[in-house]
Amino acid sequence: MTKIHAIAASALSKTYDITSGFFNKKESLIALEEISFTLLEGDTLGILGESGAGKSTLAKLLVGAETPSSGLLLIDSKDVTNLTTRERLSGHRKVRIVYQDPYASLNPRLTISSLLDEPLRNVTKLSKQERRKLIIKVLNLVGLKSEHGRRLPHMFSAGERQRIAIARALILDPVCIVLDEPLSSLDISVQSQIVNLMLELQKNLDLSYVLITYNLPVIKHMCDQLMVLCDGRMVEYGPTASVLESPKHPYTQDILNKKSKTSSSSTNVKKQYPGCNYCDRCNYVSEHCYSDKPQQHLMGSQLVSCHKVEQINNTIKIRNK
Amino acid sequence: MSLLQVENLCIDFETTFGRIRAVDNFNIRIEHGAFHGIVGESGAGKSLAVLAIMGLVRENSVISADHLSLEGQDLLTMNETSRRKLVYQAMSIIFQEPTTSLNPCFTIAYQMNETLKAHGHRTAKQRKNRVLELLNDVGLININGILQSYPHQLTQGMLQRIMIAIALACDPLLLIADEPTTSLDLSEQIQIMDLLTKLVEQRNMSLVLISHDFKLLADETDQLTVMYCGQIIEAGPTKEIINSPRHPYTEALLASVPDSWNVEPKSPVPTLKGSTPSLYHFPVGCYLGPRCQFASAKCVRKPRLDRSSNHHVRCHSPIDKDATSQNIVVTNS
Repeated sequence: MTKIHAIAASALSKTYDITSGFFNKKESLIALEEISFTLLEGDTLGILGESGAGKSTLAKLLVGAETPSSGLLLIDSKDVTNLTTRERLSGHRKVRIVYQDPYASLNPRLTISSLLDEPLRNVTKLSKQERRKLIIKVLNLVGLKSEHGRRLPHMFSAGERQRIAIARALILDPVCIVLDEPLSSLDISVQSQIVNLMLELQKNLDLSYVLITYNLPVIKHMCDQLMVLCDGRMVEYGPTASVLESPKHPYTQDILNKKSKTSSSSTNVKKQYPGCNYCDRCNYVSEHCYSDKPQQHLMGSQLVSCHKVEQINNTIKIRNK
Repeated sequence: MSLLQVENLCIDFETTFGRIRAVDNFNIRIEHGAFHGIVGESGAGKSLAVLAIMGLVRENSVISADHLSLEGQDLLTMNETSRRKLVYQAMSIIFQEPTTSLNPCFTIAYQMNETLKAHGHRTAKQRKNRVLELLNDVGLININGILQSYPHQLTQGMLQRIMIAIALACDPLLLIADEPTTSLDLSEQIQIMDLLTKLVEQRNMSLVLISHDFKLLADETDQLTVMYCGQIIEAGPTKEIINSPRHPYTEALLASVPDSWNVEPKSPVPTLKGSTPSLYHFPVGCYLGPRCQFASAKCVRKPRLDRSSNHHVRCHSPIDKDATSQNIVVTNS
């Protein structure tokens, strides 16, 4: 049986205008540049990168909170790139998001059932009874009881709140859920409970996940494919096992060995070179890395965008011998 | 003589639903130059215990202890002023969130001067030199620019470095780091931790590191205290606890750390079922009872902290050190 594409993106870009003042020259910040990937139903795509790498911008594009500046995005085989605001509401209903901090992402004034009811009222035309049935169904799916629906968010622990956030993502019957650092604000024992819940839901409902995290063991455990972002550009993309075991791009090698030098976020002013985004921190840098944009090379099963990828990996091979 | 010695520290809070005990008989003993770790989930009372030692807990609490001494001087019998003076000369604390621990309304220069003034650097020139020296030590560049900026203009990593600089301003003997790296980026976490240990070693200080990251604690600390629901449930040398935990809670916690998952991708991972009980409704007897896979009838009695060896444990039937290999079966929820 061939699997269906849940999400397909081709050359997806997002630039923000950062002009301040009326007479100032127009400037723009490239948040994401030409990202392409396909995500099959039931698969998980991991996204790895430091803060400021464009992970959250990608998440916003996928759930429709932002519109891409250029490129093509297909959700469930439907083009969602050029939609009006109203159309976007239904176009992106198949992709939902779970945020990092379950204390901030739930409205403290709404009971759990009204919180879960809101997307249903906005997007579907179900009757009150049908909506109530659905709410009880998703609460049971995430391991909560139906009477929890009458409570307010402050009555729950962090782990239970994250379950509620997952229930809210599930209620519109999505094909894909974007998980933006779903574990980092949870305790260790709760983390593994949530991982188990997510895996169980994926198996039972054939969900796809886009998992944004920098927790490498979790990526290794959950993801089928892995994309590494560096300052808005895709530097490496391939099956998780091969990327983690034999990283080809110098940036991936550095973050996997935890050697990455001062990240771009710790210098306030960000210099953008026309060439490779990692050129100012790379050990193998040469002149044309600063001026020319690297092409994507296929190395084994991985897509790598680096000028010197063949040279680097040959020297590593020799060194290992 | 130990640097800090605490015996049976208890912290109670008066609430509308009755009195709750947030920290229950906390003991710690820190030698000069020691690296001590405290680990536990949120709500375990680890931060509260150190805040109480520093005298920073809110006023609606009732704090009691059998013994509390710093550098051999008893803090319990002292008056408020001399206690404050002793504590702020000998101890410093770094909090988790650098953005919330600095005042957004004042420049970095003002906030650093404020601390130095309190610690007896009288003239402006003295203070200026000291500020430059401190910021240089924590590895910041473009110091003059940083001094004139407000906290929102700097990144998390820079702010945490400034917090470390402020904490070191008075040359303390004991530095308490309360989850210093949790809110930082991965590469910044490593840098800040390296910096912190380097500075502590250079100045011959002691470090108390509060964290829930076992890997970090295993790398950095010599002694470890594991807390659950306000109680110490296991304490001893870090290596021993991590290699052969004796309390079922420590064992389950270690197994559920992502780094130690030894299972096929996408299969269920080991976990500790249930959730931490609320402070208002502790279980009868052992607080881990309902979540423990080894629980038996005797667990309805409160276990005592067994302090006969240097590896303390609070459990009626601790895991046998030699038989741990057979016991590593953790339930899946």
